[in-house]
Amino acid sequence: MTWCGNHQIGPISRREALRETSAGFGALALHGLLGQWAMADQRPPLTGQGSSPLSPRLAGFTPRAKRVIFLFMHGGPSQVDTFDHKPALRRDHGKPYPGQKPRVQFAQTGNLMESPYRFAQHGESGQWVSEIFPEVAKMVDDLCLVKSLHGSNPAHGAALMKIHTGSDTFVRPSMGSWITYGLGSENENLPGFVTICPTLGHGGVVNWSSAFLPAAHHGVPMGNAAIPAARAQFAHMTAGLPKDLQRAQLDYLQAVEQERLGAVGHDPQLEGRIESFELAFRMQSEAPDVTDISQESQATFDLYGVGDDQTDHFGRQCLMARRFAEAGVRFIQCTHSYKWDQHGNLERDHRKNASEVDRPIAGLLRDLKQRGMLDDTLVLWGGEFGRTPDAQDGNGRDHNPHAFTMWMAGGGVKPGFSFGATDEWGYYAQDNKVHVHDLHATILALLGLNHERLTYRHAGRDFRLTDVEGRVVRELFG
Amino acid sequence: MLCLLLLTATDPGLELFERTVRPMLVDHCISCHGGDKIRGGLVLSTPEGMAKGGDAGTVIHPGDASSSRLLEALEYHNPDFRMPPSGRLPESTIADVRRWIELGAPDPRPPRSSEAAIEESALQLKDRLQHWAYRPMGNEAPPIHSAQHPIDRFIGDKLARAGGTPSPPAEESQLLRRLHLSLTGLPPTLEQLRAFDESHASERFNLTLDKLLDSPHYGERWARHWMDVARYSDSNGLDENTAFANAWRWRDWVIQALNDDLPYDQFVTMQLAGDLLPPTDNRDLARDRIIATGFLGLGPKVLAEPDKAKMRADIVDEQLDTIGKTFLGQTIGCARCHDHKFDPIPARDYYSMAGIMHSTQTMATFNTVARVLERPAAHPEVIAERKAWESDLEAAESAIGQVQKQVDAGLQDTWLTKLPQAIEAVAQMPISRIGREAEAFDRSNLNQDFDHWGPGIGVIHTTRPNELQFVEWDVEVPASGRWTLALRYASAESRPLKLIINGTETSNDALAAATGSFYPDTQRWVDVYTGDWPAGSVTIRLERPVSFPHIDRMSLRHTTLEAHTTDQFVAVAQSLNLPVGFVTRLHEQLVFTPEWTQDPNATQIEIRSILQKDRTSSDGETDSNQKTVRNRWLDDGPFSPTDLERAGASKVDFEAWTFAKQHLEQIQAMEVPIAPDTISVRDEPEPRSVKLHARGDHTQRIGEAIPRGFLQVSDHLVPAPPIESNSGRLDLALWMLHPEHPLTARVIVNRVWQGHFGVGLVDTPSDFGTRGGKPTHPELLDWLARWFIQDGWSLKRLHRLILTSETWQQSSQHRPDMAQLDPDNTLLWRSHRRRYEAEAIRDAILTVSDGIDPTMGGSLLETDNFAYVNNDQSASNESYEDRRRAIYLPVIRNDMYDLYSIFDYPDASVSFGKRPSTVVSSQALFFLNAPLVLEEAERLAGVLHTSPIEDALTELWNRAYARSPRAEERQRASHLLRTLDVDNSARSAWMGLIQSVFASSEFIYLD
Repeated sequence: MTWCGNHQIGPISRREALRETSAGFGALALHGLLGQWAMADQRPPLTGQGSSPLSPRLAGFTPRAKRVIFLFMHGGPSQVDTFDHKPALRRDHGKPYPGQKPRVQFAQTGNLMESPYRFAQHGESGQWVSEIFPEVAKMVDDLCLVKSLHGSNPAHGAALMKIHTGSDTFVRPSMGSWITYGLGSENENLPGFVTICPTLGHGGVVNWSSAFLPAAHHGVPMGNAAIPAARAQFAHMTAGLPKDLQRAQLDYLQAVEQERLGAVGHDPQLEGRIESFELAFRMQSEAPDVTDISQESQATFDLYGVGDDQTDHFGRQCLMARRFAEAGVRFIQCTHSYKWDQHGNLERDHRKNASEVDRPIAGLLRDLKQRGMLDDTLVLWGGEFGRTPDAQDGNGRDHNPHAFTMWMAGGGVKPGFSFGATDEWGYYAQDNKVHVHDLHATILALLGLNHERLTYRHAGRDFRLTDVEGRVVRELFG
Repeated sequence: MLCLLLLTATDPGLELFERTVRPMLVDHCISCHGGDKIRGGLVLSTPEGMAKGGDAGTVIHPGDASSSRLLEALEYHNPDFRMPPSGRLPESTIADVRRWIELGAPDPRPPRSSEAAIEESALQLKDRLQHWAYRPMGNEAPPIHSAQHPIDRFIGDKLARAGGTPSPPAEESQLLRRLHLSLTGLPPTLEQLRAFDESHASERFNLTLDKLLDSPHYGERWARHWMDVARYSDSNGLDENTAFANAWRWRDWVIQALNDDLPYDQFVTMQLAGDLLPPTDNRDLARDRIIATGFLGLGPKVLAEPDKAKMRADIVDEQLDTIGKTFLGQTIGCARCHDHKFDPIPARDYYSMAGIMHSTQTMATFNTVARVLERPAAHPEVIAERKAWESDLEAAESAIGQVQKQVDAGLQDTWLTKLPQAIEAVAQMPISRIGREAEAFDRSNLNQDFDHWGPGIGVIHTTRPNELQFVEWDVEVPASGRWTLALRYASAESRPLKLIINGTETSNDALAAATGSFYPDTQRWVDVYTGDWPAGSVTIRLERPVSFPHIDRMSLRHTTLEAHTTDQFVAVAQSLNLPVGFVTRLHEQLVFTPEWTQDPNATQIEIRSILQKDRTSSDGETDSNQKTVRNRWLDDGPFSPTDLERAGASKVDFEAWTFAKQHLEQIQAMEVPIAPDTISVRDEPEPRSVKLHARGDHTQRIGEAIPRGFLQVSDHLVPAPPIESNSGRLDLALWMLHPEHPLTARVIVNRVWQGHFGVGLVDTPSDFGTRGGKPTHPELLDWLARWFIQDGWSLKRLHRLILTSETWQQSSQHRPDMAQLDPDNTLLWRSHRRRYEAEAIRDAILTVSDGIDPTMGGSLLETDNFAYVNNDQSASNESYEDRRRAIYLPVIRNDMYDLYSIFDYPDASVSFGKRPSTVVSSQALFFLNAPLVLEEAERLAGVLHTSPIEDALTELWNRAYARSPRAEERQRASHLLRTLDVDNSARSAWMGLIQSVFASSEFIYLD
């Protein structure tokens, strides 16, 4: 029994209250406690069956990362032109692919096509990187490349939903929502899950929605892909009245609500509302500070490419991601929106795309490193699928969910490491295959969450990010 | 099996088994095919499992390795079927397995019977049928209790047994708000409050109840509840977010059906099988039956799914999931991949019901981007009448086209002979006008679009909406004087431009008016600037930070010279015996294409050639250059006669034309019933039963086709009817609506109960399965369900029954003693305090501020049918500023109105039986900063701030809370008004107070 004012309430109604009343954006009232569980290598007590956001879902994993920054390359970057070096494509250029093509293809493809770019080995780890990523190449000794990813759907919309939510068919909670649901937020004045300039197509909000999880775990968009990062904002964050007048309004409201609470008796929702107005007021002060990058030095701008036309959009996103990470946001996504879909003109356009993100990404990695944040920040790079090694339209490549490369950095992954392999031409993932579900299971594990126990009861059954699949790829752990 | 036991250890097959096969099974297979996990129904941990195979059939044919699926998987040749998933095993292992199968695949492991398991599962199924929701509805009469009302007797009896007592009635003002919001979703207006106060105390509750049940707003309120379970949306969502621009017809039908109190059994039947009901003479009913089936087509679908078989299976799955949750409270979808783990729904039942939906056509096309089926919403006779009229219209149009061509040809030939003189005459007129095609700019970052306005006709509009948009023209002004700048443009919305002339800003709202569309049908000339200029060079610049209107042409007119031009046109026309209109149009044309004046005879030759081509070849196929000329001179130019000018044709021709024209106008004026398209379904020509899909995978179909049918859960109560309608949808409805069906009536009375109490008797309204909630008052639920059926399935009478109970009218006041006894109020010792939904919050704000528009029905969607509501780079064009009730605002999947998302309206992609009610800071930010709140507060402040403060406070409290303020409330509010009144602006202080009232719990909660 817990005593609350003069009213005794039973454990059931208290749990109910906490489930419905999470006053921060992504904040759980007991986030500190969860944070402790997440950080310390200890098993939390087991209660409930995963039906309350507060019931622990951490089981036996040592958390290595505290937060995630997902650099999403919308459109599907070609693995064989970026990180998955395939000399056989040069040898067999113009010949038909000798293996069997998939049963379901997005469109017809022609013969094999060599990469138009030069590859070279970099760093002490000697990993191959294409010439279009010169800055990222300098950071390869921090990257953990997974070259054997595969998904299930060759259409953008379904593949986006798959990579973000684990389902290409239904509306399910996004990975960021699951993570904030599992870990809470480190800063009750900010959302736990922020997505900067997200794409509105190909699933749109489905890719950052909390679906049936409590609304507090919904991703909070800052702008969208139709708006340059320089103008991206959170909604309703511009004060309706001058601050001192708004304070007077709040004081009035608090008096009204307190009086009402006294009159109607105990009511957890009412108590939550009183707190939520104070939080909103604080958030209104704090969020603009975090998103205002004007205080950063010129050196930092240069590091991220902010101010340079080519890199400004993604550079700002990466810089804001670092600031959100510092401020305690749990899951941050940056989106390079729908650029990477080169069915034709791959040589020109993949080069251009890379030039827009190469410096910002390398800048983010360097910056996190010099601030000592890379150790507990997991950076994830990749698209919704890869591309075919055979040609489309003579100089492009088609969608390919059967093989793609993603890389991780920091957050407890093995640096300077490459895992898994595709076949000789890069058409199918072959050795040490990692499915999207496996990737999700692994990311959760790095955060100390067991993907099989991070569940939520909805419509009569317990749901998971990984559905009934998923293998934690421990080989990637540092 | 026995023969295996006789094999000796030196058997080469057994040796292979021990050396290679067993280690392989242990290391690579059994983690997914045995023990805790059994993927694909395949158990490799026992010899029986190995022999039996999985969902997709056997995996080993002893003695025949090449036809054994086990080997196929190991060999990795088939990209869709490779095992183990982590990578191909070494060649030597695969060779050993091949050899082992060739040797008869001997398996020495001890057998384990699985018969026990089968029996166990049958027992479980039987056991699960004991679950309350599958048992017959009880027949218990309301218990003996002091209360009169049957509901109060059930509730009171249970409460008393638990040692509790009910709460006293709520205050009358609270009850009044409850009644209004529960039934109509709107707070009482001042007028309604007055009427209530003036009526007799003993009857005013019932009077109000009657009035509200008769109010059209009742249908709007309860249709919104139904739209939640029906996952209503105006767009597809998922991967390709295209518009359902006709979905609103279904929504409006639901509103009307509820207002008409259409009995629930008919309401259900029409939505599942309206198209299959016997013909009727009632035209409205025939129309509504088609519209009602939109329920089946409204779901989200992966429209670019390349695997068409998967798309089909997924669409059926979505339909079954929605049907199951909505009408039956069953999570049928779980049985797609396996027998339901908790409820007695075997996968077989799923596929027998799936057959019904597979026999129903939902899609017009599966080709990317796929489209949902639409049918004309009308009685067949209406459709026939409409078709006949359309063909008459077509004939009349074609008739006048013939005659008109002849009339016009005569006129054109006459005009053509005088063209050189006319050009010379016009060219000699002083230059009073300079024109320029907009796309012939000197500098701009706008897009030149030649695709949508006719051949060769270009406009300029936005390319990249993220940067400052601009266009500049350098113009040589030939003479000093007063010039007027005009632009011809079209824009569906207001896009005001900044106008800068020679570096000086002269306007910041040029072309601000919307014309009605972005296309030529609404384009118009607008004067944007008049000023005195010297002769010489002028730079005209337009700019806007975001999207531009679509600009077609720019022109400068010399105001003083222009005054004389009309006279000059008349003079030229008279001297050459030409219509003034022709001369005027020729002048306009030459202003924009002055090059045609250089050699008038050559111009005549060119135009003649185009006219001839136009008349001889039916499709007038010319090169694009000629198309442009044709477009400018004929379609939209001097050689296109007006009706008035046609009177100048020969008498015979003109009479024929007049006759045809009158005929056409008569047909156009006829009142023909319309048959607009609406989302609907129809039966496939041949019904299709489907096979079980192993693990829900459409590529793994196994066994015999399963006959179409229904869930077995009610077989013991309701005989499953044979399927007689083609697809079986009508039989499905009949089966559900059988008076002994244990689910249908229980589910709907529980939904209605939840609508009035905030919590259902079963708190999982769409899941009555074993994992869902149990009824707190099972006898009451059953009594209500039977009453509802016997009473004729009337929802309005059910509302009345519930609302007249003392239970519903109780106070929501907290009582510590009862809270200790029953903290969750499951005994209903008081009313649940609850926040109302997103739509009701918005509508309440607009009602209180007098800003609401009560217009009912129709569509507010901006996007064309099947066009993208939004795509990767663009936000949706939809606007939520309309002042009609929220139910009429667009519901856009993937991009919900932010007010909805903030207040727990889930993305409208799945059937939702109960909305969450969270308290998050984004709600507080909404009340503090959202334009809607600020604007409506300001609107009401405009009314209140001029009244004496005490009167104004009374009015505000009555509008918002349906009561007058207490003394301390007056004091507190006056204090806030003084604090906010910083610059002596009473109106802005009032605005701040009203905003706080909107934000207060008493306003958005029902006590």
